[in-house]
Amino acid sequence: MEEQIIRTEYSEIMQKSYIDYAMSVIVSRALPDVRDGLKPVQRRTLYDMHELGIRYDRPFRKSARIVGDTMGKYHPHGDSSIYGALVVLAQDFKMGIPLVDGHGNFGSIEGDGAAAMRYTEARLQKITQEAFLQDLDKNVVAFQPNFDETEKEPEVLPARIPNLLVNGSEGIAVGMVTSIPPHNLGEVLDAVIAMIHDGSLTDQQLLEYIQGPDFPTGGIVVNKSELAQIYSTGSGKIRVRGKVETEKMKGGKECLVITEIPYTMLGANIGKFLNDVAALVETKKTTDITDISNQSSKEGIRIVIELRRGADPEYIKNLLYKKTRLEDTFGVNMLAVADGRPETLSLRQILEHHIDFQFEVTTKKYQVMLDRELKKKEVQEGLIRACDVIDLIIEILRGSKSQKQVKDCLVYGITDGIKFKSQRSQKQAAKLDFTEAQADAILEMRLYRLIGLEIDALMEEHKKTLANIENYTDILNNYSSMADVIIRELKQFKKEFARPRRTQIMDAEAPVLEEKAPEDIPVVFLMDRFGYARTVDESVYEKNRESADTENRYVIHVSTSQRLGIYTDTGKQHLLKVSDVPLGRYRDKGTPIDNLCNYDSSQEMVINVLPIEKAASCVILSVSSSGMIKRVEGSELQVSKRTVAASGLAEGDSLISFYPVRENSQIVLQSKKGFLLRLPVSEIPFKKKAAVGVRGMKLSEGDTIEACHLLDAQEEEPVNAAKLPSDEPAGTIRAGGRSVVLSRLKIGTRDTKGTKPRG
Amino acid sequence: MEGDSAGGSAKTARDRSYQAILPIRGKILNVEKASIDKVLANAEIKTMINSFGCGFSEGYGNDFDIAKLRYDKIIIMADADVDGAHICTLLLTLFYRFMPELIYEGHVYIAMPPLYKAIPSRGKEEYLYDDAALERYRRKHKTPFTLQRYKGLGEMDAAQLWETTLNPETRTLKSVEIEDARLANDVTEMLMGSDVPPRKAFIYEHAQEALLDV
Repeated sequence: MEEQIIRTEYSEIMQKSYIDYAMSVIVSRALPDVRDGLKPVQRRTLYDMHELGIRYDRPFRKSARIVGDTMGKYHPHGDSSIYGALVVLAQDFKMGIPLVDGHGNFGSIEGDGAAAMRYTEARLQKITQEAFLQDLDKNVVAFQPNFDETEKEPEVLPARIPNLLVNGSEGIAVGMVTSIPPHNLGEVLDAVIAMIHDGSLTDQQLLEYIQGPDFPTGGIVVNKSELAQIYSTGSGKIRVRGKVETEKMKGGKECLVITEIPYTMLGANIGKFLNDVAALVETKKTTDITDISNQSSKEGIRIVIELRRGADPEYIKNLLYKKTRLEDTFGVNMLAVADGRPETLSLRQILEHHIDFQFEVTTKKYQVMLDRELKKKEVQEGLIRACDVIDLIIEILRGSKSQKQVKDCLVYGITDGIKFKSQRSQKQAAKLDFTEAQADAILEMRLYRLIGLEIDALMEEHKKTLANIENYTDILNNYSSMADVIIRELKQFKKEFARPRRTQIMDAEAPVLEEKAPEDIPVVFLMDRFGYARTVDESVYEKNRESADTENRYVIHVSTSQRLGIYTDTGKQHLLKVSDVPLGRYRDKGTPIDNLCNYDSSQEMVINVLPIEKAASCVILSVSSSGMIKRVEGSELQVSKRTVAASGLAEGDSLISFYPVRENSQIVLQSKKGFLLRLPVSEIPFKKKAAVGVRGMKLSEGDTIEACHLLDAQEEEPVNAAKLPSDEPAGTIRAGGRSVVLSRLKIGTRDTKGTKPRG
Repeated sequence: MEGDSAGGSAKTARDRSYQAILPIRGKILNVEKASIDKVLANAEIKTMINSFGCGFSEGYGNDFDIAKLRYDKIIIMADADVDGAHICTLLLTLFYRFMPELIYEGHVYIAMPPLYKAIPSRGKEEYLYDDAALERYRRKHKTPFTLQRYKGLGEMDAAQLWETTLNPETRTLKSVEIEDARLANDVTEMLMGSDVPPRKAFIYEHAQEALLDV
């Protein structure tokens, strides 16, 4: 044979491979079947346990055996995925109704994993056997060959309860995901029964039976009014909260106790929640929480949050709902495989599919049972008739040479070669017309059956068989009779397995956090030239005033309810809430402002910091490096966006100065080449903050503005301006290599070149 | 090149004078969705670049030079199941995006390991490369036979692997070629990109054509 090369087009092979992969993942890996609500791995595990006879009333068996057997017979994939599926099927905090009874460490609600499969043991739950694995011998579902065609496996389990709703499902396929919450078995069965009675029920009416999801972890669903929409479209967001109680502690303090968590917090998210609460305290979002401890045990969840004396528990509760995942959303997307295709289903559609499946299964079941009874009837009739002519039959038996002769005689009345005692017997024998099955039964019959009482018993059994046949025929032919059978069964399941609802369903207001006007404490904001910011108490500042003033570039008196604006050379204003700045001791290093607001030290440079509230009453002077200047009303800076443009800038331009000025002040613009221009502030026009401004100083080619000095900086400036390190005495600057006293400069006009002081 | 659990037997099976095996563990990064530095940080991809010896079209020196390619045929050898198919698409995306000349100049091939082995009670066993071949075999052979299904390359021993997949005298290869460059680009973007709706639409549209793997 030669090497064969098949030419293929890239896009074709990509599409082909991808669609095979995607559909396989969708149909036979990640999504459940709408009929039994199981993914293939779950179905195969359960079926395998059934085949191994690991019933609820038998001893537990090692999980490793189940996993190995399932893998070898039906599921040629990784063992961890099979064991993972088995573990989840047994977890009562994950499943609405666990389908597997686990023995040993099957993991905990806090996300601890199960023990390795060589340690744990498992068996089926009673409900699994009765509601999922009944009647498999009656051909109720189709079987398909397994991967190497050595075994048969059911395509779907004959589930009698709508498992897709009861246990929900979660799965990530390709291009689509499914997420169905668990529901209450009793409620779901009621809805099924109601819908069998009246197939025209709407989604809205069905919600009278099924109130909403019922999570095994309890909790409270708070958007009841949106459920109708979610269930009729098959997708939406359910808001679920944990249950919180207030308890009194010793010494008049109170604590919040979380007794039920939202379903979404299952597993490792509990630990995350504890961290989130701790972070609330650390970032000073609240100061009322003194301790948090997780006291969950076999009695259930118990997370205790201790409060400071006099704290408002309602407020803290709302804070937790709002700022942590104690209130969370469960994204619903009721996607399942229906008729071999992935489909997003409404509640009604799921129930319809389920009911259709029930009728299909029940029809097949009763058809098989009817066939069996009909066969029985045939045999019984044969035996009864045989009893009447037993003497003749014995004569035939004795006169025959082979079994075939006897059978031919019994079935077709062929008497050739049989010795009869009399002509009459032979004539009678010729009239015999038993069926094949009857003839076989007669030949197999034991002699004791001829005792009088046994014949009575046979008659009795025959009567029963006839009654059964009538019954089964009725069930198969009448919709209402079959419905009654199904409903009776469902009621039985409900009686035995339903349990009370655990999740409360209600409508609740979204948690309101009246931003309790955080106490307004006057503090001093300190930021050093490296951008490390912190606030300290005023008294602390007073004590260290001298070093604070020299070590920090920005020293601003504010209060904790106020905000600061960080102005950068790129012309941006970044808002910074004073309350977000860590309040610390004087020696604390502080936090880089990069972490506190949108400021990015790798992209821009701080040119000033202003207290926004105080600046509102001021007029701000803005100067750019290309010489553009303007005045802006400070009230324009009062915005709520975290980052806005503080000044319009032309391409390539940058902001040099941005500080408050008075009407009667004067400024001096200084260019890089040493030109100085003294201007009265009153000559500078007012502009909107997004405007570029007007030209303040004519610059020669390649020259840029280096600085803008305030001539008469006074101690009681409305707000502090940046402190620039300078060795020069107040009122003088260094320009062109020598000291210049600003007040000696001639007052110029706007848009002129200014003067260059000569040596 | 290799799927996951068969690197060992492939190394034993090859003809080491002109065949090299580079095992790749599990599924590689989807380069269509990842940023370039993530792509370059990926150990699996780095090894691939280094062993091809022809550089990389972006980042990493920008030194792609097809003349330096160390091998004439780069053969993707993945399990004959749907996960293998997925690995195939991931690798092809990598080649297409970062070393497109490999494909344009016809260096990329896909190996075709057999899907089944039919073992009749008498007579010769036969390897079957797809489901159609299995159907043909069933029609031709009325006598009962045992069927072994190869889920992974790991199920074959070295000799079998050589005989069925590696031996240039007997193996079957698919060459990957691009005739319609625009289509290739669109398809890659749709299947591997981060925009979900077009992919979903594609899946729905072609759902019926898919070969399912149970």
